[in-house]
Amino acid sequence: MVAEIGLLFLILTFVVSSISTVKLIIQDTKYLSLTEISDTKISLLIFLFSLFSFSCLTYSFINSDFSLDIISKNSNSQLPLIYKITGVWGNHEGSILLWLLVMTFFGFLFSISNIQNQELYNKTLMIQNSLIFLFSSFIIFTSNPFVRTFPPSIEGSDLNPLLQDPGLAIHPPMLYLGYVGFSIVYSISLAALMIPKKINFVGILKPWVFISWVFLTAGIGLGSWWAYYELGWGGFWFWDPVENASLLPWLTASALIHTVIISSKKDILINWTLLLSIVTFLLSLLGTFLVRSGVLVSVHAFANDPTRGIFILIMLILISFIGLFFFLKSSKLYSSDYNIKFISREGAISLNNIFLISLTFTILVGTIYPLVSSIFFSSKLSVGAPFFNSILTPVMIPMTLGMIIGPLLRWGSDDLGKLLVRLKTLLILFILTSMILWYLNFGGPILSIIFFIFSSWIIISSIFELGKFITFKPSITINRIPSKSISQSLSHIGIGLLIIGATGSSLLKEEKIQFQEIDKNIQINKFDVQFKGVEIIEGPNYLSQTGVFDVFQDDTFITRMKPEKRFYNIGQQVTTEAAIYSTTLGDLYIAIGDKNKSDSSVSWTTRIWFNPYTIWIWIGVLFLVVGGCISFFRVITI
Amino acid sequence: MKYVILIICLFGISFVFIQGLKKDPTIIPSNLISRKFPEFQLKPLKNYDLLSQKDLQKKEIKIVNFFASWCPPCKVEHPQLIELSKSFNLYGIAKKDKPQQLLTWLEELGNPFKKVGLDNEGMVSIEWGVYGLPETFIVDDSGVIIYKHIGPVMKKDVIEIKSLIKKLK
Repeated sequence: MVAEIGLLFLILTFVVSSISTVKLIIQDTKYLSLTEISDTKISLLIFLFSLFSFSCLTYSFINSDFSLDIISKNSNSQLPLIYKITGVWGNHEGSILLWLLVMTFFGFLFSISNIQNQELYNKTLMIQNSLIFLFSSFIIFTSNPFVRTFPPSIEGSDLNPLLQDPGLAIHPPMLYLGYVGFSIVYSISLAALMIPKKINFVGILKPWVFISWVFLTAGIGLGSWWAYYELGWGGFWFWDPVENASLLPWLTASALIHTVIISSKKDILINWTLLLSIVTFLLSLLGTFLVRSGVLVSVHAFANDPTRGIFILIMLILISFIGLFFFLKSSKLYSSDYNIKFISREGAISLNNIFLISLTFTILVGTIYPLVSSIFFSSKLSVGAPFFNSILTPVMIPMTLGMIIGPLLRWGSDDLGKLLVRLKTLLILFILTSMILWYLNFGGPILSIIFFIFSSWIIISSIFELGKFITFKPSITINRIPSKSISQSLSHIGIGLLIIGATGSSLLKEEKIQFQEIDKNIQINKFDVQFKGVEIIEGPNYLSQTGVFDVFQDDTFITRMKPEKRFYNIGQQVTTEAAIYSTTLGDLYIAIGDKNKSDSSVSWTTRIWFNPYTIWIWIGVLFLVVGGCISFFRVITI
Repeated sequence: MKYVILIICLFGISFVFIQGLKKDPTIIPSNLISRKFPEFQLKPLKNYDLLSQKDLQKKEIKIVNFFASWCPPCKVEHPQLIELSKSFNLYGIAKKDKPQQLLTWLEELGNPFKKVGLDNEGMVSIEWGVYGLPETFIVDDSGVIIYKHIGPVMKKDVIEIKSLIKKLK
């Protein structure tokens, strides 16, 4: 019964949102009595309907209604409550319903925000509601979560054990808040382009760009953190097509964050802002298409379903066409003759955009290429980490240099010579830290030294930026620091930390894989890892082989680590739970494998990594998120 | 003009993706298809005839099955192998298996194979590009591999294999 009510609300979302679509298509409203219904009301209604529909599905999951097909396939009565709830989006149908809910939520938020320009407000809502119309029809016709199975199952076949994890429970909603947040960015931009005269919309666009970027950053960060400790592969980023698919909109969104600042400050590059807004949402959709259709091989791939693929493809092409068509038609309104000087703040930001876009394009090509080659050359190939790492380096180096110099440059135009004089203290600091870092890492890979030096420069110059607000004469006083500078410095420090972490955990990683006998020691970095044996422990819905390791440093006991191998569903599915001991200098990371059967003595496969500075990746992401949040709150309060 | 370019681009993208949707990305084509089977040498299993290269050079169509007693999906496909063995000559290669367990397995489930060989080191499997068990190859009368099936042979696969061999004849 509850499921039928859920379906009913879903259909209501579909029907009510169609009103906006009709209004959007038939602009001449004198033939329509539909104008009576305001878009504000529609937005509220469809938000409530999707919320009810989603609640019905959640309710069915909590009560383990195995007569529903997706619940019988993705849940189990033995599951802890939290995983019964997260099971709602641990499958295709439920996760697309969550997507719809987030989309209506953003539409609703926009409808209650204070927008002066009535025409822009109405158009934006109409477009947003039309997007919702498209998505709700996708759910109803290809991915209905409320389908019953007959005969009903007595017990569900369990949620994929990899998804039974707190990190992963919140990763998809976060990521969706980010992806889908850009739908409203798209809607605002398209609405601005549809209005035949030049209007001021950048201020309206800004908060949505910031908040969506924050969620996307947090979502990607959480996903990466999950992969790091759950997959047991010792890494945090694997250049999987789906990871790339989430990185693409993030890169264009990061470019957008910068252009939106210039656009609102100087009234230039507005058409570029418009294009990035449209493209970012299109890339989010492309990501969804790649994940949901199964055209690429990926750890995220759900069951290969061509009908769904075709439907998303049609939506993708339609939304791309409309967005880009109006961009080509009306972007002239927003072009300006302003000449950007290379050595200026605008120049640095433009350069940052060029690098971010070229990075996006190369990663896009690398991700799609296996598909293209299998179609046109009938050859199977995969584009992996070596390709992406090799293209990342040459782009990252000039980009970090731009990040260091850019914020120090003045708006309009500046002079490099004068800049050097202005910043002599900073230059001395740069040289000093470089020498120290060079000395400390002497003999290490040259690339790691370069990245360490550059990232330390980013961090120092960002702190220096903030230092400008401290005056020493006559006494030390801290002037009020504008929140704009705080958010910029925090985010740039975040990137600096991220580079340190990524460099450490990829270039300087130490790895030891061996058969380890009980009481035998393995030396790694400064640690001495002693294997104490394996215990069998029973969890709520799994059986665990828990390895016990004692870690010593200079003969003093540091900690006991317990990596696990968990067997779910009577051994049908196995997950690895790595044990991680984090320090600021690096993580000791242990994963346990199988017992060695061929040998007479008792030994186990153990994989021990030392991943230098990994913790700084997560701290870096935190800085980015906090920086983005400060920007968001600044723009909504003024 | 710019609209034409936009439409062409979008059409191009749709074309690539639609083609992509028709393909199953998990299928990895074998390089051995339409080539002569790789050379091999196997160890004998007590009481069973040893499979040798000469058997695969015979002027007939042969089915070669890689399996092991420790592999649960191999048990699933066993009845289908028995059925295939009624009309064709099946040869079995047991990968990294213990002779005793293999003997019990063949006694309990029945023996579909004309001849069997042991691949103790797994080297033959590597030569044949076997990356998971079970895998099944069809070798034609000139010793060329013409078909490879990955995973257990199910009832629908039996029909496919039969019709394929019929076409060859």
